[in-house]
Amino acid sequence: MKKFFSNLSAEKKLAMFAIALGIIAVFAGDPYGKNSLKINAKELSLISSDEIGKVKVEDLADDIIKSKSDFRLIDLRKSEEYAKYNIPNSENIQVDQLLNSDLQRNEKIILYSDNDIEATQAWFLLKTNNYKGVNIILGGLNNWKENILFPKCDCGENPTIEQKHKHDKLAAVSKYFGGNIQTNSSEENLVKNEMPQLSAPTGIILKKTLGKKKREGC
Amino acid sequence: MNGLTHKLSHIFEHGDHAHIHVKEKPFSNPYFVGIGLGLVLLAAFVIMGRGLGASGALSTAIAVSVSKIAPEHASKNSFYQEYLGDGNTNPLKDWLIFQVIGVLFGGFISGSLSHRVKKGIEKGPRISTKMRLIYAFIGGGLLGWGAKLARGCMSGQALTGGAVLNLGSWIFMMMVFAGGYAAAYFFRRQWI
Amino acid sequence: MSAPFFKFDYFGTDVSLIIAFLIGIAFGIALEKGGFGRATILAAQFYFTNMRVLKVMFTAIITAMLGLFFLSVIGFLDLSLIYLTPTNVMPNLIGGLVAGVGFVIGGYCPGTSIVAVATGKIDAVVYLIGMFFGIFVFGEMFPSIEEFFNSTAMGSVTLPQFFNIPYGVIVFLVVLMAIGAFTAAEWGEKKMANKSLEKKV
Repeated sequence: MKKFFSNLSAEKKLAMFAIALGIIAVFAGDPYGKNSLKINAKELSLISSDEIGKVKVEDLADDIIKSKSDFRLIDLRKSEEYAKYNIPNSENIQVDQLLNSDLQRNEKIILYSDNDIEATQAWFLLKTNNYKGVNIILGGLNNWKENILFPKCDCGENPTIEQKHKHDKLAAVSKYFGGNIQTNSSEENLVKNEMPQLSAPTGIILKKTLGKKKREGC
Repeated sequence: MNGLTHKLSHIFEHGDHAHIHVKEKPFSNPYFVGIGLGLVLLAAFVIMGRGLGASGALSTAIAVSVSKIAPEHASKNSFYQEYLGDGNTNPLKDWLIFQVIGVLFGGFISGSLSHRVKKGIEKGPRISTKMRLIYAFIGGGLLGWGAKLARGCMSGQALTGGAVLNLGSWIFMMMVFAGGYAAAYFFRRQWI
Repeated sequence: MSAPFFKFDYFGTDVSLIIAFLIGIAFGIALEKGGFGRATILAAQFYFTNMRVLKVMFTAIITAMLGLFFLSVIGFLDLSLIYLTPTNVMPNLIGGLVAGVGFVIGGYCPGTSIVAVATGKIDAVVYLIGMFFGIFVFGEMFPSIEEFFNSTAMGSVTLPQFFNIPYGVIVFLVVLMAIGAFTAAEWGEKKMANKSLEKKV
């Protein structure tokens, strides 16, 4: 038997090796295996809330004002709600469309919905599919409304310089996004305020070219 | 078989040049070369998530040339636009273009090391140089056209697509062989 | 799971271009060593006198295919991230036929013609010019054939998906087919070699 094998030419040996691999392949299972969600329950429970990347609304507002575009802002709500108001520079993708979208695994992604729940759900979905740069807006759109669009001012009688700066900054940011600062912190005011009208994107490039979305055909 | 081919090619080149002193090295075992090529392809998959290609680079070159000569016309044509991108990055900074330039270098390096770099014309014994060049042009034109219609050429569709078991690529590959064998009889004078 | 590296952001676009160049060099070396820089060898395929093209190409395909399969099964490579050119049945078919005819007439395909240019073949230069012309004609014709170009679209689909047969089984069948083709090729070459020897006698 040994002699038979050693007498074979190199090519025949290769051919037998290839056929052997082929036979193994038949029994080896699904190469796409990692894509069906066979998540280890223990692993899942061990993902602590610390791992979830969180973005503060103030930081996001700053980035938008500075025209920073190294991230993709995703609005997870229904399209009607998106049409009524959305954070500038955001794209509307529902949770069930996330995996079909053109989101790349190496992009910085910021998710939001009205509150944290849907965003966290989406975070898990993307994370288990190997998306690496996923974050959520802490507090979601509700937080955005409360602290950026209609922030309450700390207007005491004699504001210190610090307080004044803070007040002015809040007012300026809120004005930028079409809201206005609340002069008294009653609940009524918050409800009465209308969401800012969405103007046509002025110079804000909604379609960013990320280098890695290039044509990959031959 | 290799020896026979080697001798035959030696004879033809001898006719074109008065001096032959450096013998070309014969070609390596095709199966081993195939494994090497397969590993290069695999490396491209593992590193970049894409395979090899060639026609795409040529298309980019054409698209850029057309856009320089007639920018309006190029911008209205969705075929050219695909290769020109959206204006944010230089279309020539393309993966395939750099890969193709590498092929040029690699072919030269390998050829030089084996003494196979020689100015000449590849053709069979029964055809004139002029006809060969005419056929080369026509053949190139047909292949360029066909490859673009099929969204790829031998490297991109047959080799790369074949390895990932892409349906369209296998269809393309089979049809290339079919077309080639069908036309072979009519052009046998060019080659054998 | 860490491959394909580029898609997991191990390096950026600029580095990828350097990698493209290096991979290209390796590609060019492999092609040249395979004899693919010679139109006479490439065309010989269609006359059964020299079946190098078939041997090299299918060996390369099954090497890469097996590599992809096993790297995915062990979880190192994410197969779903590998680009699949969309399938459009009729364009693939007609394009393939035209390309096949062009291959026999011209004696090269795009990649091999570049290797041939690198080794000094003038017909390859003419061939390349012809290719540019062909692509240009296609580009100019595009508006009228755009509809055909996009017809019979099936999206990105693999053989296992289409035939609904497990991936591993298709891998095995392809290996068998390739080995079968090699055997036939060796037999064919021997017959042609004997024929030409008989002619000489």
